Amino acid sequence: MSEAPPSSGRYPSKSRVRRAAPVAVTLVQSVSRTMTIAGFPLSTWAFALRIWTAMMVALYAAFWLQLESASSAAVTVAILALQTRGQTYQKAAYRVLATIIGVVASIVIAALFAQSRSLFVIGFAGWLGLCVYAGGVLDGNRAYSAVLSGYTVALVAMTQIDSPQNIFSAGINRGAAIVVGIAALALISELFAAPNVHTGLSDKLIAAHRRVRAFALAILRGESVNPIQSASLLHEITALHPDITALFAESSGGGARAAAARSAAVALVAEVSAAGALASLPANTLPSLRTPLGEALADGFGKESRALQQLADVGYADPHDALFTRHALDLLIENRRAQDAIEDLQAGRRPPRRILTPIYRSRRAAVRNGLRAFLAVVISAILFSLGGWPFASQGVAWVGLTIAFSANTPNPRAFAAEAVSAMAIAALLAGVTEFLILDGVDQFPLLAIGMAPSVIAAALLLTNPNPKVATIAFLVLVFFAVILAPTNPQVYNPQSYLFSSFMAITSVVLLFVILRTVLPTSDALRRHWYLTSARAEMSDLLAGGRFRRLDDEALFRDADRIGQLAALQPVDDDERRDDLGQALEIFGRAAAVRRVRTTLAELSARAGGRLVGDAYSALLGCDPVSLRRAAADLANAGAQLDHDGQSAAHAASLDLIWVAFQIDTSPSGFGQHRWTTS
Amino acid sequence: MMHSFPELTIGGVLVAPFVIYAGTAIAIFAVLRPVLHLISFDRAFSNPPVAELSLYVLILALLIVLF
Repeated sequence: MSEAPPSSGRYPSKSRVRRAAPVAVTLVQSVSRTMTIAGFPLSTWAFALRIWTAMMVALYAAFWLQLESASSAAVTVAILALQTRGQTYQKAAYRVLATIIGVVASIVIAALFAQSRSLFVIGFAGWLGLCVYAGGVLDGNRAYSAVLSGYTVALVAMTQIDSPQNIFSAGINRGAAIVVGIAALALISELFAAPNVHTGLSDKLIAAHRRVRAFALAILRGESVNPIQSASLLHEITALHPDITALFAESSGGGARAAAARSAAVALVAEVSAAGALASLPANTLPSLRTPLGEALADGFGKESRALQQLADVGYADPHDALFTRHALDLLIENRRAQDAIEDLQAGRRPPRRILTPIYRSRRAAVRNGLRAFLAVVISAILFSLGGWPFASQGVAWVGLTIAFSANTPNPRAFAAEAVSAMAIAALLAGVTEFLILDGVDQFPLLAIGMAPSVIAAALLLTNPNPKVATIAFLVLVFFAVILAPTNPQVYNPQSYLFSSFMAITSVVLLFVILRTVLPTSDALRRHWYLTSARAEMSDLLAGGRFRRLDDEALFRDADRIGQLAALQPVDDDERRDDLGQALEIFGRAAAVRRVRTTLAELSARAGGRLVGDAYSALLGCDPVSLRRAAADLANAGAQLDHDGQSAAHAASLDLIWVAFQIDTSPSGFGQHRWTTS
Repeated sequence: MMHSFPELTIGGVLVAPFVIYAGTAIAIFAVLRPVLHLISFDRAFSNPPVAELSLYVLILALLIVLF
């Protein structure tokens, strides 16, 4: 690794990753990224044209197959308009699965409550609430599939509320149209070489690794740690989780790549944790070791790290020096692991380490989202039925659909505002397309040309780095296809268009109001939940609660919680810094306690439980003096053991001292009785 | 001689033969994936996705012709 120039970031050049024709691909990619037309790079134009082509192929095939809900094929393409193949295929697979579940649920709900509309609506609301809850504990396309299972009932059963005997055929038609849409998009993505998710992901991991290394080097130079910076790093790493899960669907080597990406992400989080541990030690600890350590970090895992290993084995008289060496070694090991795993990802190799990346999701937030979805459907059904408008069932279906969508967004309120804008724009575009551009034509090529400006413009803006613009563009793309609802032959009925547009806009306005009034979840409340759950888990850990995951997996889950905390909109910077500081403190302590429990378990397996009994008791009592005494006893008792036993006893002893050190330096103490008060 | 296609009936609902062929081809392809990774199938082609799509179409066509 060290022969590569520093500017290359020590990652292998593309030529080292043995792939056929990589030079041509790289050239095409670089040209398509640098050349721009009307301010958009060629790659973005290629994406927009792919989406338009796939939508038209899907519509043509659905018309040719004489499917009743042919427009669902176009809507499917719009919903699956993601830039990489892996994400598209994963979402497509979940869409098919969720549609099957949703259609079965529609039939069951309709069969159970066929005689009573009110019970039917309550049954649908309950199902949607359940699905929204399930979506709340998942992420990425999995969460999407959960909410889709819910709102499929709205689209299949709710719109057929007056003729439940048609639910089965409506479900089959919708399923067929969705499969046609997926097939069209898959074909176009394959033929027109849509980008792979793994190339983008490896670039993101490399960038994250560089930043993590820079963060660690700054700590070694003695610079103070800003909690916002640490939390942002953790957020950057854990936010890659949806991309990592999408790798599996991409190609035959997707499973190996996903394993490599998981390993890299976990190693990066562990590297941040190790750097944080070094930062909490006094700045004047082992100044002589900091420079070679920085060099080792920058140049690879060379002889400096071997020297460090020897030092760690020998030990230091000063506990701070010993702790510094232990965490420095962790830092180098995780740095190396991350680098190897990223290389494995690029080369499509399965990494030696098999590890999972569990995510944290607040169950309280998920329950609240589910309840809100339930209430929103019930309230909207009451309001729409009181209004006595035509298309009322469509309005309820719209509210169900949009509230389900909103539950998966980081900020549902902002999403509601964006949905109102998007719906108005989509209704306008659909009207202009239908009555001004097409205006009664019935040839398919003219329909394709007529839809092109709206579809291509929305797809272009979908790639905008501004998340607000991108969300509005995505919603416009989907809503445009829904409101225009191309059929064969096209029915040019202004009254029907006006009613459905009016109902759609009214529904999103209602959603906007409901999200602000019914069980609103503020960022302050979320912050409180995240911190409370972190404290509660810490208490469990101290009380000796059993944990099912590997230490690094649990660390990733904790990092995911901090990442979500970092993504919240703060009231002010100081409050944010305080919250993140607290969360990072718990993150570090939880890592320390998990680690000491693991090393004690290893020692116990080697030398018997009698040796570690005092250590467990001291840990339970959270008393630094007892912990240090137990550590000294372990170190003395370890001298009687064989070489491996001595190493295990030394490691356990150091980890106990580390916990004692953390209790000493913690402003609020460490005991569980202090954590459950807020 | 006319080639007859298998028809599947689930609870009185007739499923088109093509759906069965397409589903079976997906299942076979899913089983083949680890083997493809083992033999480094994706490194043998400049555009692995198209090669994998072609393999799927090949399996589908074989199923239609043979069964």
